[in-house]
Amino acid sequence: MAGLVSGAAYAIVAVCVVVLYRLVGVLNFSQAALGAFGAYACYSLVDANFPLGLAVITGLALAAGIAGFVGWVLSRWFANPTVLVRSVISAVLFLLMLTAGFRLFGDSPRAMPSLVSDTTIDVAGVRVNVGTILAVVTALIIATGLTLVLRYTQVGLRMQAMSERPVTVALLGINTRRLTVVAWAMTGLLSTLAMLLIAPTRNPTFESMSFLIVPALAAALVGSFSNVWVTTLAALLIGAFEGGASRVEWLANYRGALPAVIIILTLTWMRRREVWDAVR
Amino acid sequence: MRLGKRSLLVWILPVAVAVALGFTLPVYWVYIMTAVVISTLIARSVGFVSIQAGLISLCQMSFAAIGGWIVSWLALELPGVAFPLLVLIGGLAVLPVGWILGFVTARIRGAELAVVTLGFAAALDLILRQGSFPGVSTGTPVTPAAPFDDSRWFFLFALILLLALQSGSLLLRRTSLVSGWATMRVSEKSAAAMGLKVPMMKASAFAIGALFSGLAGGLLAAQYGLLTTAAFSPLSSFGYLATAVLCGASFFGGAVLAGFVAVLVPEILGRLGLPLDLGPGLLALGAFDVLRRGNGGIVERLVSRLQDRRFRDAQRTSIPPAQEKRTDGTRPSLNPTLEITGLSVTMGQQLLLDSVSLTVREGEVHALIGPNGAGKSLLIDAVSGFLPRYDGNVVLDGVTLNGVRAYARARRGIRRTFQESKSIEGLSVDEFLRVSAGTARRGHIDKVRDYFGLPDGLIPIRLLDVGSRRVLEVAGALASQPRVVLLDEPASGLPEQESSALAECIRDIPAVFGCSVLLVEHDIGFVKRAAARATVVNAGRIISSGLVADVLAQPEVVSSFLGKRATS
Repeated sequence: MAGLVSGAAYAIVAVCVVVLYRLVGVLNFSQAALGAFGAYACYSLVDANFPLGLAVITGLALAAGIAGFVGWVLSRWFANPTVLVRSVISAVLFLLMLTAGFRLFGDSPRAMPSLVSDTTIDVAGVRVNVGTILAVVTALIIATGLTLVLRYTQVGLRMQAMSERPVTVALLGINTRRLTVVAWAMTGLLSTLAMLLIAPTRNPTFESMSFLIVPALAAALVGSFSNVWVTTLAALLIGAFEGGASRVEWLANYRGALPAVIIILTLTWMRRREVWDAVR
Repeated sequence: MRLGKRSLLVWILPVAVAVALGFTLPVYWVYIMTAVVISTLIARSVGFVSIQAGLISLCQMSFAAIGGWIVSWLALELPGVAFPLLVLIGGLAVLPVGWILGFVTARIRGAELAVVTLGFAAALDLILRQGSFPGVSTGTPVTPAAPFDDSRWFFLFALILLLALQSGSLLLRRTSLVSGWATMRVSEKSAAAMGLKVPMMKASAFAIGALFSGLAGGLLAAQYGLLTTAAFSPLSSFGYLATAVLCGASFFGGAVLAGFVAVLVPEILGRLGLPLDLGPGLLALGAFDVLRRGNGGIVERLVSRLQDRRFRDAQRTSIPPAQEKRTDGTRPSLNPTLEITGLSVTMGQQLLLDSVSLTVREGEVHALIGPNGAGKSLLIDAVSGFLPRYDGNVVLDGVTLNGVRAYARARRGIRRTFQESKSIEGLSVDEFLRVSAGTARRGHIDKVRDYFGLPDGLIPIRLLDVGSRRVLEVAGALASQPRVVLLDEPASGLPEQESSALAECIRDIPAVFGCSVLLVEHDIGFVKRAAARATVVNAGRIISSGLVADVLAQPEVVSSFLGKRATS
């Protein structure tokens, strides 16, 4: 059951990756690092005796602000980058985020207080942690919410139009840069939430938190970077598997390699056909 | 290659200085210099894979880790064996790992490939963390056998290894592999249309990158004595990618600069009392700036500036020598070269080509004309093997080609050009002609060059004007001595005068090169000048076929061009 909290966090980060990829066309390796920024800021404030609620809100706002700034910079300087440049930028950004994270928060692991109580309740004879239920419910709400926003609101439609035809949308008088910034900021905020959920379960370092992007990317791939629901489900399953595998002796130490296996198998299967010069 | 003044200055002098320093400087600085050599190897590995071949890899340090592991293990098991041999074994053992990774991921591109390589790096990191490197648990460091236990001799070995690898990559430049990477990076479709096997080229890029990194890892095993996973963390691969992009490691000079930067930035930060973890961030900012400018890393920019200056006054356009009309005994025969029968293409519900039949005879220029969206380019895609499926037959010289892959069709003699020019800016005119020519004779390339009046072979393609690039593409297709070339609007974007010169060139291709031409073109004047027979398609159907003058006189043809429906 413990794995489901991780699964929920992976799901939120993965959904952010998918949404950002669909809207802006950037495959953001730094998604988890952005969240780690917010989470660490929050815990630093808690250490400095700020009330928890205020600290959480500040952390969320900070991550949203940083992510929005990154979006602004990218849309200002890289209006129409080639696929090659886009991928390198994503890698470079990750490096920058980690450097900044190390500088600000150090690289030693720290114990993080849980946001929710440790109480367990009985559901049909199984003891379930309230935190686990909350985490999974949050992930599902976010997936539902983002699907609804993208499908049914004006902003969502504009964003989807932007990702398909940025120039046309700009010519229609829609401010694409503002939309880009909003999309980035939203994913920054949500990833922070994910990191706040997962942090108490594993006492991470800034680096290990940032590398939670790997299972999230695996889940996003299973959803072919487009299907929010498949992505969410895949992320929850990866989390559950990791949780289960920790009890199997021969598997426990290697369970972290699962995302890599999923990534390679999924991609080679999805891309088994020859497609000429498609942009990905 | 003759050893002129320039090569003395560029090669022998720096190497002599490095060797001299290696035997005079204090040991600490020799250690630093060795680190620079090792970093150069890794940066060059990134240069091959990510910059030259355009495959974004985030696992180059993982290859180094495997190399380092193997060398550590061998050094423990076989303590008496000469150390250079161990390093070579380590490097050669990693090479197939890179090959397999490249081959398996051949159809994965761009950011997705970065995801795969990151996954690979993360998984390997995890596995290495479970069991440590050989020798670490017992505290037995890797000690090279004499004389390489002396840091000065070890430096000399690393330097010689680097120079040997660089000589190897200079030899590699003479094959079509490196030019093929540059082509593939711009467009895999263009590469396949030249007869290049794209998956093999990706595998080879990864294999060579893995070799360089693996050798570097082996050297690191001796440099550090005891290896830790921290030295090969996935993050370090990100760092090397940023450094290689910043310095321009697609050139050897750029890789050397990257080697210096990777080693000296932390060194300088340390001496200034600044935190070392600022280093990757600074390099990332530099790489960000390079990407923003979009014209290459430091050494790449330097090289292009030198080229600009060198070719400032050179002729940069193609000036085909005036052609006297050649009709001497090369009457088109009636033998078919390319036969297309009943070709139909459907996509979704739409029938885009409806049983089109067309024969290009030996020694003729056959025009394929029709309004926009008639299916002309689609037909070329089908014939050259770029459509996953079609109905009907494509036959070249009596051999049916259905189901034959694009690169294989190109090798059998069907060459094509593209409507949208995809010029390979990183190559020179000669390199482009050579990679395009494949196995054709060298003398043939000169013939093509003279025929089209191409500029000096050393000029980079990026310095040519648009029109000359179009001409160069046609020339490249012919350089391979094909049986038939399919030219997709070769004159689009050409000014009037160049266009008519090109038309005359194309008219005489069969007589001069013994190759038939299927010409797709909008410009009726161009078609009249270049082609003898023509086929007209509209909305996926052939509406007329015959001699150019006859075809163009038909009312249905005229109305299809004016956009009206032909009334029957």
